[in-house]
Amino acid sequence: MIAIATASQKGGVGKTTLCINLAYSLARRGWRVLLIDTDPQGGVGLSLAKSTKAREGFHEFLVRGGDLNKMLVSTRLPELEIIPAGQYDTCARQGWSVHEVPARLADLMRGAELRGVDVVLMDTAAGLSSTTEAVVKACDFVVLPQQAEPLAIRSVPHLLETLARFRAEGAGVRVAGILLTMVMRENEMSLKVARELRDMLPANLMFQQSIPRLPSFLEASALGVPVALTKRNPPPEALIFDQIAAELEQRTGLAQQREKEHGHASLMD
Amino acid sequence: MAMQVSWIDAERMKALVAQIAPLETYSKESPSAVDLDTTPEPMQGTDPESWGFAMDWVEPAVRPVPEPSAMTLPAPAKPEAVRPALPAETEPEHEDEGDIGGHDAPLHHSAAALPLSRIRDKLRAIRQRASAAGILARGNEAVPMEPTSSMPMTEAAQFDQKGRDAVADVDANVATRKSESGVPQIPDFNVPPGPRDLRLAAFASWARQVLHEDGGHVLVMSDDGEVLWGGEAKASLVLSTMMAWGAAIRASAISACDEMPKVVHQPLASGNVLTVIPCETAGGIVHAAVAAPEGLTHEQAHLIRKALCAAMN
Repeated sequence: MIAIATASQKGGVGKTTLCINLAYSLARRGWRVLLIDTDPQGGVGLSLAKSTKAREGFHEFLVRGGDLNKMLVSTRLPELEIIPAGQYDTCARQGWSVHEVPARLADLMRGAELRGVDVVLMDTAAGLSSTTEAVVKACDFVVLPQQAEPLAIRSVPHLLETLARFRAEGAGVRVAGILLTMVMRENEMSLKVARELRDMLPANLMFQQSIPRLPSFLEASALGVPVALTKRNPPPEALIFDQIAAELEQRTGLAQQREKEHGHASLMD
Repeated sequence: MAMQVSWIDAERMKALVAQIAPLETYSKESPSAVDLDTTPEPMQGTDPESWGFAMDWVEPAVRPVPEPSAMTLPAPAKPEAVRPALPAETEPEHEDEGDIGGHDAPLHHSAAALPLSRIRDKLRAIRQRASAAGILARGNEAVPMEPTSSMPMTEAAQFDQKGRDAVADVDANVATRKSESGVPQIPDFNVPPGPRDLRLAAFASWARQVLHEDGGHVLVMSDDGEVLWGGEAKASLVLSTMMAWGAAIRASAISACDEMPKVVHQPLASGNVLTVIPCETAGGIVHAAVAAPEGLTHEQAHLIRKALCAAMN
């Protein structure tokens, strides 16, 4: 099992959209995926179902631990399950010890692993608050969505500095890649920002695929589904997340692991 | 050197990149340039139907998870190695074992009754082999639209008089059989001559009799998700049908062989059980989906498959 977090200094860069659609694509590719919403805003739950608003979830787990199974929300895709954010304000009133968070997260990961999960995907709040920091440190990889606009891109050095600090403090988390989001193809400034970042950073630090800014993503949020399910036949933009999922498999070693375990499959035997 | 737009110092960036260390698992042969203009065009128009993706809340199905132990943690379940041949008995029969084949959270099986972890591992290995072989998604021939067919969601009342007569004949046939014996019998399905909509209307009417009008809902859809009959069905039922069938395809090797696909049972959050009956017709695979308080029996599913094939062919 591997755990992947998303992180960005700036809000509104599309972390939640990425997490929902990436989790769906990974699940469609055969991985058992657990999507955990660690953002107090509860964007994952708000994007997918009304019923998750009243559910216990990640923050209750931080406060008192408990049975992971009781917090899981099934989806129509058997390989994909979700732990919603839970009732953040209620939990914040009860309070939780910052020092206990790493241990709770370790329990969470252990529970997921015992459940047979292949990939834990953790959506985080903007910025690197203490909880988000603990979440990122608890993961094996971090994906860095970066909005293709000047202000967002200027936060990249700060983010990398923070991640370098994590490494210096002994965290094993590795950067799976920086992913350009909300790229506006019609906007020269947006394209320029994207090109500058690609020119400046090594290719292996940047996802080849970027995520354009499309109305269909709004539509998917309105409908409460991943983009692939906005139409009965998945729209072309759904393939963007399949491509990202495939890249992520390569970057995290999932693909190599599968190849090593199973090798070439024959059609007929 | 500060960049024109991003204001990032390239030298400082280099130093930071060195600190976070490159990935070892990723190929270094990444393309140096990415064409951002290759991203897809936005879709025009929207589908008016909205579906909830996350299931409405039901008590979660608790899998047989061993108690965590601080001393010894069991190794995570790993898929089994590829075997030269998959014994037939390792493939669960959907009709006999509920939804185990397509869904990993059966609602009505106890952990003691079935070695779920073993089955799950085997299914995962099968699924991965199917995926690796490129047969994850089943190929499909589109169901041809007949020129006389207007919309598949047409109500029976919109048919011509001949069509209404044909549907009425089915109902009358059943009523007669009931009155003769006093016990409901399953009538034969006689395909009325006419366009597909008419034939499917007759099929749906007949199917309701097979289900003893117990509140079930009948839906006929192509393998592409196009609703051929039963448009008044909830969109979520259409989605559930597609997802259940997709899961069954992924979870077994049935897409790699020529045998008739199995029936899929899927418990719904509403408490009903969805039964998806794939039928191989001349125009491709068509699914009959029935949401009813109880899953269809093998005999009922067989009858419905036979009748739907007759109606489609």
